[in-house]
Order: sequence, then C-alpha cells, then structure tokens
Amino acid sequence: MMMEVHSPSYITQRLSLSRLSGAFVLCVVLLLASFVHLSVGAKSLDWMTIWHALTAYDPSDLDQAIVRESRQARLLVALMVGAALALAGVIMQAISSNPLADPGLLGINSGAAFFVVASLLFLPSLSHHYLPVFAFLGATFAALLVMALSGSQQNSERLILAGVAITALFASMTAILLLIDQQGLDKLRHWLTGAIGASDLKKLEWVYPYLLGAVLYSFVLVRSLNAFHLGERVAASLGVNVMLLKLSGLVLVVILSGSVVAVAGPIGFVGLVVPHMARLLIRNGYVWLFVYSLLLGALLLVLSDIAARMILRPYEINTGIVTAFVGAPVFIALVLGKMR
Amino acid sequence: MKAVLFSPRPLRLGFSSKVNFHARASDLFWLMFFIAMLVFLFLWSAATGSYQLSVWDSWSIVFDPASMPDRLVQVIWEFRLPRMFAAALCGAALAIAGVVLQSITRNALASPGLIGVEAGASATMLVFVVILPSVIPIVFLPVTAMLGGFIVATFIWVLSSAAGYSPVRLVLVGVGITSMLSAFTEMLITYGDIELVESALMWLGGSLYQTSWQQVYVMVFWLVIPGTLIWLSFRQLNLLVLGDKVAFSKGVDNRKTVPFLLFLSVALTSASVATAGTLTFVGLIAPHIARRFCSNRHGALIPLSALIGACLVVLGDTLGRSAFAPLQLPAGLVLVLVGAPYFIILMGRLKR
Amino acid sequence: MLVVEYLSAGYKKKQVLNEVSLNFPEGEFTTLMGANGCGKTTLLHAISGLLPVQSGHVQLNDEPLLKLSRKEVAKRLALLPQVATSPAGLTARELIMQGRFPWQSWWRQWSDQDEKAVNEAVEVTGVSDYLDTPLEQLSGGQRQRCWIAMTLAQDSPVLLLDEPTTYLDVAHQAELMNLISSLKSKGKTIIAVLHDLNQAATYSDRLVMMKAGQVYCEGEVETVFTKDNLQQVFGLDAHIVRDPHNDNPIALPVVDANVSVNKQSDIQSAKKLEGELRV
Repeated sequence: MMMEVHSPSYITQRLSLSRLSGAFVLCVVLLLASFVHLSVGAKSLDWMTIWHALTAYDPSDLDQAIVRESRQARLLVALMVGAALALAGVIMQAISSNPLADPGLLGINSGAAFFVVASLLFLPSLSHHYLPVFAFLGATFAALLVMALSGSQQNSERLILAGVAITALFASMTAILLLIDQQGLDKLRHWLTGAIGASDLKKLEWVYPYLLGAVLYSFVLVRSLNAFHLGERVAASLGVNVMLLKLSGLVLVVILSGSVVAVAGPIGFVGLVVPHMARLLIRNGYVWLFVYSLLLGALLLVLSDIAARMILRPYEINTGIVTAFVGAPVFIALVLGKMR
Repeated sequence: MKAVLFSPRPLRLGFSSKVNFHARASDLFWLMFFIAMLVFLFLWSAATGSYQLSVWDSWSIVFDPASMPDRLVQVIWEFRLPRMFAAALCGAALAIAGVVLQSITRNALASPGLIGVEAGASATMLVFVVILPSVIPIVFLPVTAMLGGFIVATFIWVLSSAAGYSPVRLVLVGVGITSMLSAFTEMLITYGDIELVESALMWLGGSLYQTSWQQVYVMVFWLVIPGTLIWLSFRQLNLLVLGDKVAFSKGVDNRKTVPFLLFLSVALTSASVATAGTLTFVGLIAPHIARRFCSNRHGALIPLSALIGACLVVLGDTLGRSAFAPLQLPAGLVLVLVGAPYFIILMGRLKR
Repeated sequence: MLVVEYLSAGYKKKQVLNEVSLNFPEGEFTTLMGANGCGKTTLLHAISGLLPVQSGHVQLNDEPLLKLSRKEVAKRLALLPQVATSPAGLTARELIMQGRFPWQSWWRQWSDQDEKAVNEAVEVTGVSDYLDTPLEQLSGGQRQRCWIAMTLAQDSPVLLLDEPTTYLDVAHQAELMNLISSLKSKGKTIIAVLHDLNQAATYSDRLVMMKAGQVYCEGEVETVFTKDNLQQVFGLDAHIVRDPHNDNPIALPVVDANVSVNKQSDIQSAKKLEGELRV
C-alpha cells in the first residue's frame, strides 16, 4: 500500500480560504442537484413550480403539493442518508487505517438490517420508534464480529474478507426469516435493497437526534484523528488515548450507519467512495475532510436517487442498487491501483 | 497405540520402492473416521423425514432392499437417496474448491464464492427465471447457470491478473464484482414477479428438493475428474502455502499452476451451484474443520475436507427438512446457522 | 560455471538491472553487496527466473537456464527467498521433504533417491534432533536451518541465498554462516546476498559490489574489499583492519571526530579545562 506524503499543517491552514470557496462551490452544486431531484419523477415539473412551492406555497396547486408533500421529504432523506454514510465511511477508514473500509462491505449494514427485520417480524406490536435502537444493536454486533474475525494486525484483505463472511452470515439469516414469513418478504424486499421513499420522513424523525449528535461528536474527534493519521504509536506518544479514540469512532460508525439502515435499508459503497473523492480535494486535515465528505455524500446520494428514478422510468430502481453499481467499479479500481 | 497413531512421523506406505507415498498414521485414522461418519449420517438421513424409520431399517433398505416392503424401498431409493448423494457430492466439491482457494490466496477467510462463480450463476439463473422465463427449457437452466459462473470467474481472473497476478488482488476484485452482481440480483428480486422470485430464492438458498439420479451421475463426473486432478497436485499446494517465491524456486510454475487449479475449483463450484444452488458456507468452513485434524498437508487435507464437506451438507439438508417440518429450509441456510458460530469461535482461536 | 550476460530486468515502471554481466565460478561462495535498492536481490530473482528478464541470458555450464521448464531449473538452481512465514502444523521433516518437489511427478512419488537426498540434507545441516517437531516450536536459528536443509534437499549444484541471516541473533548468524560456507566442500556453488559487510568479507571467496543496477566491481575479497570501493558503493567512510586470528579484512566505520567515544579522554579534558579555569 502506498503512503501518501502530507504537507505540514501550517501550509494547509493558510490555504483554508480556497477550501472554504471549494465548499461553497460544492454547496451550490448540491443545491442545483436538489432542484433537479425535486423536478424529476413520475411527473416532470418545471423549476418555476418548484420555486413557488418552496417560497410561496399554494396547497391548491396539485404540482406544488407533489413537491411539498412527497418530493421534498424524499430529498431530505436522501441528503441526510448520504451525508451520514459518507461520514461513517471516513471515520471507519480512519480508525481501521484501511482505505477499503465501508460499513456496507464490512457487514455492519447487513447486521443492522437483520436486527431490524427480526424485530419487525417477532415484535410487530412494538412502536417503530425503537427501530433505530435495534439497528444500532445489529450494527454493534456485526462490528464486534468483524473485529474479532479480522484480528489485531492491520491487514486490509483479512478485514474485507471477514466483512464478506459476516455479510453472508446476516444475509442468510435474513433470508431464513423471510422464508419463514412469506408476507414479510413481500413487505420488506424493497427496504432490504436500500430504498428511499417519501414515507421515510417520519422515520427520519426517529433518528435525527442520533445523527446530529454523531456529526457534532465526530468534529470533537478531529484533532485526535489528525494525530492518529500519523500512526497509532505516534498518536499515543502525542497523548491521544488510542483505545478511547477507536471506541468512539466505532460508536459513531454504528450510530451513523445504524440510523441510515433504520431509515432507508442497507445502502452500500457510499461510505467507500465518498472519502476517496473528498481526499482528491483535501489531502489532510480531518475538519475539511469531514465537511467535504458530508457535502459530497449528500450530493452522491441525491444524484444516485435521481438516476434511480430516471433509468427505468416509470419504474424506480432502489437507490442502494444504483450506489452499488457506481461504487463497486470504484472499489475495483482502488484495488487494482493500490494493492500489489 | 496412541503414540503410533498421533506420532508426527510420516509412515511410508507403498507397493514397491517406486509406487509409494507418505502419510501420517493420524491422517489415515481421521479419513477412516469421517468415512464412517458419512455412512452413519447417510443412514440417519435416509431414515429421517415425513415417514420416520429407524436407522437399522434404513440400513436394510439400502443394503438389502429385497427384505423390506416395496413402498419403503421406493421412498428411500427414489426420493431420499438421490437427494442425499447430491448433497454429499456438492459438499465435497465445494470443500475441495475451498481448500484450493484458501491455499492459493494463503488466506483463511477465502471461499469459492469469492471468485464470482456463485454470484455469476445466481445472476444468470435469475435472469432466465425472472426476466426471460421459458426462453430456456428448465432442463438446461443448471448448465446455463454454470456457464454464467464460468464467464464471471474468467472475467475476474483476467481483470485481476492483467497487471500481474497477486492473490490479494484476485480476492478483492472478486469481492467487488460479486457485490455488483448481487446488487443486480437484488434488483431482480425486488422487481420480479413474487412467485418466480420465490422459486428462484428457494434455489439460491441451496435447496436439494427434487433431485434425480440423473443429476447425481452428472455430479459424480464433475466431482471426480477435477477433484482427482486437484488431489494429484497436493505437492504444488503444499509448496504454494509456503509462499509464491518458495513454491517458484522449488519448481512450481505459478503462472501455469495457479490458473489451472483455479479453473478446476471453478468447475467444482459451478457444478455444485448448478445442482444445489448456493451453499456459501461449506467451502469456507469445511477446510477449516479438516485442517484441525491434518493442518496443511494437502495430500490428506483434500480428501478429508471433501468428506467433511459432504457430512456438513447432508447434515444441513436433513436438519433443514426435518427440524421445522412441514416447512423446508434450504440446506445452505441451515449450514450458515450451524456453521457461523463455530466459524467465529474458530477464527477467534486462530488469532491467538 | 554460472554465466550471466547482459541481463536487464525490472518492474513495470522502473528498470532495476541494467545489462549486468557476471561469472560465478563453480564451487565458490560469491556474495552480492550494495546499498539498498542497488538491485542485488533483483539480480538473484532474475537469475532464478522469479522475475521475468527483459533481455540478456543466464547459462549454467553452457545450458541456457531461462529456456528450461520450472522443474528443470529447480533441479539445477535452488533459491532460498527471504521467508518470514512458518506455516502452522508442519514438522521440520515435512518441510525438508518438500524440497524434493522438482524430482517428483504425478506418477513418480517418493523414491529411494529422494530419501537419500533428504537424509543427506538433514545430516549436513544438523537438524536431526528436531525433525518431528512442528516448525512453530523451533527457534529462529533452528527454523532457518530447516529452510536451508529444504533447499539442500533440492540437490541442485547452485544455491542462491537471499539474506539468510536476517532476523537471527548474532550467535545464530555466525553458526549459520559457518554452515553455509561448509557447503562449498560438497561442491556447491553458492551465491548469497548479505547485508553485513564483515560477514561477506570473512566467508565468501568472491565479492560482487553493485551500484545503481550495475556491477561496480567484482573479484577476490582481497582486491575488492577496499576503503575506496566501500566509499564509492555504500558512501561509507571505513578503515580496513585485519582480523588478528585469520588476517581477514574487516571494515570499521570511521567515527566522527567530535563524538566523544572514549570516557577516559572525556575525564582528562574535563580536568584540563578545570586546570585552565584555576589559572
């Protein structure tokens, strides 16, 4: 694996103006993409209608109602999900020192999904507010299993294969549950491939406190992560509590990806691809890496969701499938470029 | 007795000074042990089902059919036995493929699924079940699935070795392609007609429902030829485990041996996928169990893994059709449930 | 005699060896030396065929090696690569027996000749005490002996050793070097890469010093192991002194003048300073 050469931090601090403007450009692009996202769908809407719906809402206009009632919600979900997954990916790659880490590839998403399916099938009377909790439980369980399987030495290949084994395990167990409960299969099969729908806005309400907390806390970790980037021993000698840092990182990943799974099902590869895209723009410094990843993650998911609705119109493909088709080739390119 | 049996000193067994081979006494003992185990599992499996028999009855039906009532003989010989043979053969094939994959990549977590055969076969199968039903006659579906598996495996090999072969790349490119294909499979599962999807899912989960003797004969052919060739390459595999450089300097031509062995294991995997669907965990776990008895001595490891793989699938299939009766769980899924906890404990131990 | 002519080899992006030509006389111990990245390991790998050659050829007794099949090469040339792994569950005997691979085939399993070669390798390397011990229970030095025994069991006239003493402590290094140089008496041609200058000078007959993918100088130890050559090849400033026991040349790196190496002189200068202050 290649080590990148990093410029000292005093240089990067002076350059933060260009980073700020870069972030601004990204925001603008994201805004444009959001408009496109609102305009496409089963019925195409022109931009004026959307503008009116957002600024001067007239509930009697049916087109404006579509925007306000369903598309706006879907957009919000896509933005949140994308940003959360991207952040989870950055943190995961940072604490595992592994450029190929991704909550989807490592089985964390499928662990969360299995727990959610199990809770839906076995405890149907339970309030849906508890779904994220089950997702966290599953994500934690899967993360612990992957860590136990991959051992302590930093070996990308072993970590990924442990993730594949765990994913297979949870996927099969989910399949068994669905075979036992045939109606469950019909109900859940959309959700299981990572779907974003308008109805998810309600689910977003269950998870946004967790997500907000996780994002804020991850910015607290920035300084420790910068030190950790130089190596575990160096970080320890600089006074970073490495165990605590790794644990916090893991908790963050679990909360972020668990929340996403509870809302939209397992969506893979966003956490893998976005950090690499962000790193093309930001060489080091986790503050900006986080900011850019959040923006790029939201952008990638909005674009994927647009594609999901455009490709097979009037049908919709699930967003998770689109991200897999975008992400897997990036993963392969990374492997071919970096591994020897 | 015990000292001889478990002495690490290999015995030289042979017919003459030219034709002979080395084996540890313990390896021979474990081979015998698992053959006996397989026979017992067979009898138990033949006795188990909606019409319950005693193990002794199934013994007489299998070895002395004339003495038993015709109806029973028919149930066992026409329904249960072919299914069990298919289970055992598929388990053995996958276990051998798993040994090859783990030894070539020197990674304990590699499995035959990684080179894309299962994903390719599943995707092909779903295309012809869900999107284009009745384009291909049902009889040819397994062959088509096999072809799909082969094509995907070849693609992964070409892609990962274009810039020089490395085991790490092979495995990780396999992961990438596999996850792309499974996204495609998921898409079909999500949007397909629920009836068609259900039948495809049953097959994908590794179900041996309705296996005929015909399929068993075909599977024997597909197991014996590649399996024997792999077993005869046990010395190459012994050396490959020591590292590519060591193997090369001892005269193993990696550039020919590795693709050859991979090709054979792809053949084994795709044949078993065509017969029984995806039995993901066998190829991963059977070699591990076998390695506890004979570590990396491939001369013993290959047949022992095959036996253990056969035992596992027979066990999984029997449990799957009896434990939750009348509900039939596919063998592959049962195996995951049974095998996964063991696997995790095993890997935890290996770490230390 | 192993002859290398105009050999060029390297990796995709950079050429490491540039038209190297060398002769390795039969029955002699030749050591390849040079700074990191000079191409000595690459040369070893290119000779053994591990690394595809871009141009040039390698001949053993007028037979072109690169045209032979892997097994035929392995019968003539045994490479011991740098190995760090020791597979679990394998005993020393099982490892050594695997050295017989090039002489076996699908129809030819284990012969009396194989048995003889293994016994000889075991005897020469002195590993008979722990033949049936699993490798992971052996010490580093014992394990390295087993690997060498495996290479010897290959029964090839030429041995290529890539840093055989790395990872060993000093006593085991000396022991192993004595073993390796004793193999000359069995008629083996030995080519090794060694990092330790003094081991190289003490044990080998000939030295090849490499710099930037080319041979800088080669020949008998006495003529090549000089202050000038060490300065040119390693950028090392060293005195050459003589081993009081056998008169072999030994290199001692020059210590920078302002480093106070001798405590006695430190005390003296301190006293002197004190005296000056009193005055």
